[in-house]
Amino acid sequence: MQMGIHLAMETQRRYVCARCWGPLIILPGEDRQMQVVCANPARCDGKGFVTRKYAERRREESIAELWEVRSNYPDLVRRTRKPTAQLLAELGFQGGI
Amino acid sequence: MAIKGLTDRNLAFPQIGNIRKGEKVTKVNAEGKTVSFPHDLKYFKVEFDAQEGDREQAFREVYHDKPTEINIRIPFNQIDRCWDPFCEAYTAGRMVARSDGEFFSYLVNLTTGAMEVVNGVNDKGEKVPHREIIGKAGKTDIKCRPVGRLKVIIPELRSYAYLVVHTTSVIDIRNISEQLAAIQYANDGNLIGVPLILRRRPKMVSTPTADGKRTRLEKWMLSIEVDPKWVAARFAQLELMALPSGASKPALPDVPEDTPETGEDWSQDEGAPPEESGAPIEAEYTDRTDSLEGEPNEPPLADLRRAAWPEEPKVSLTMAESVRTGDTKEAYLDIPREIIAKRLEAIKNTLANNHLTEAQREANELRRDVAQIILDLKI
Repeated sequence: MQMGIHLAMETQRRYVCARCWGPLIILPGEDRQMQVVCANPARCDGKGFVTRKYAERRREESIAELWEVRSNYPDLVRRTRKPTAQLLAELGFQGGI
Repeated sequence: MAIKGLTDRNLAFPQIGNIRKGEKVTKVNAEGKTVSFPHDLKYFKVEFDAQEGDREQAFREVYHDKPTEINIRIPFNQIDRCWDPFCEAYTAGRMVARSDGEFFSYLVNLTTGAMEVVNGVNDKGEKVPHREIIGKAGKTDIKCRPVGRLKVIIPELRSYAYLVVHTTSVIDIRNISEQLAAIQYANDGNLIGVPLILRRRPKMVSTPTADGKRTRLEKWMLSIEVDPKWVAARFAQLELMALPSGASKPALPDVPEDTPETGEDWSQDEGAPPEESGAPIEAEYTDRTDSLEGEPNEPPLADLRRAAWPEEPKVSLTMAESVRTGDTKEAYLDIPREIIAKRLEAIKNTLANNHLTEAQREANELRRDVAQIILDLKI
């Protein structure tokens, strides 16, 4: 999306990528217009923006949702403990510390 | 094809993929143009985010590439938090309208770009009725079409994350709404933990043809069904709850045989107080409150009575009010207080007699209780 520099700066300040909710960057475009795009095009092919406030509000709501789902399904995630020897080996310690 | 960037939102409870019913197929038409159009599938097309390789592998190990059944769980107990059926309109990748089929909750003017409806009302505070055609983009009508999105957890992934099931079929949206409501109702308002199976089932559906007529075609519709094992267990539980309890009810306490009833003639019993003749009743009376003299803090009246009358009365107030004298059939409640006090003293003197039989003692104790209750009422 091409726009003037002032609008581009305002958009970068108030909006985030609609796909990954990541930051936006301003790139020079044609005819003295600016392009506002996602700052992470390699990992995100999003087009469009959402307000930063919306993204922040959804992140906070998601934390509450996680707590609720955890209480609804406490056995959904099996937590297994690795043996001490395996942990040490993965950390690079051989035969103990 | 993996989804890029979906899990980069840093959400605690993230969406990690989509479950769709069809796919886009590209074709070269007669004019040589490459066009894409939707193609319905008989199985689910499940896409994961590009970073969810481990979870996608876990899914493929169980369901492979073309699943027709997927085990799901509903993340929240409220249907409207998991299921979003709306009519939506899009243009240039942007949503320009959303309604519930009756009123718009969000509407953008396609000409000016201004928001006509926000949070269900326009700038005048009025609701705007739903309409199918929102406006035009060039020569194309922008229509408000039904869309349904269902958040589901797949238990085999062993993670607190969800996928979204997408459908644009009115029949699917109606069926899912009804099925979720029915499951919640059958499980006493609870959706959590119910093992569900998301299936695709073939159904003959009436569809419009190009010439304006209608014909019946086989379509693979969505269906949410409960695991049969859970259903069997639930029915067994309901049958158990429907049985009469009977034996679990507590038995009523035993009633003593000589409990006085209304109108009983006490004058026929031995040890009954003398008839009221107006003459003073001479009897020994022991003031049981002398042991409480000298107490630094005088106890309340109820405690005094309890000290003088250690046993709990076995007569209820209702019964005491209904007791009548044996001769005149006058209710004790109607007898003056002084006379009842005298009779109470006489009964206590009688009880002090150690030569009473057990039956006489019980009868006099009962009369004592009745007289005491009536006396307390008349204070």
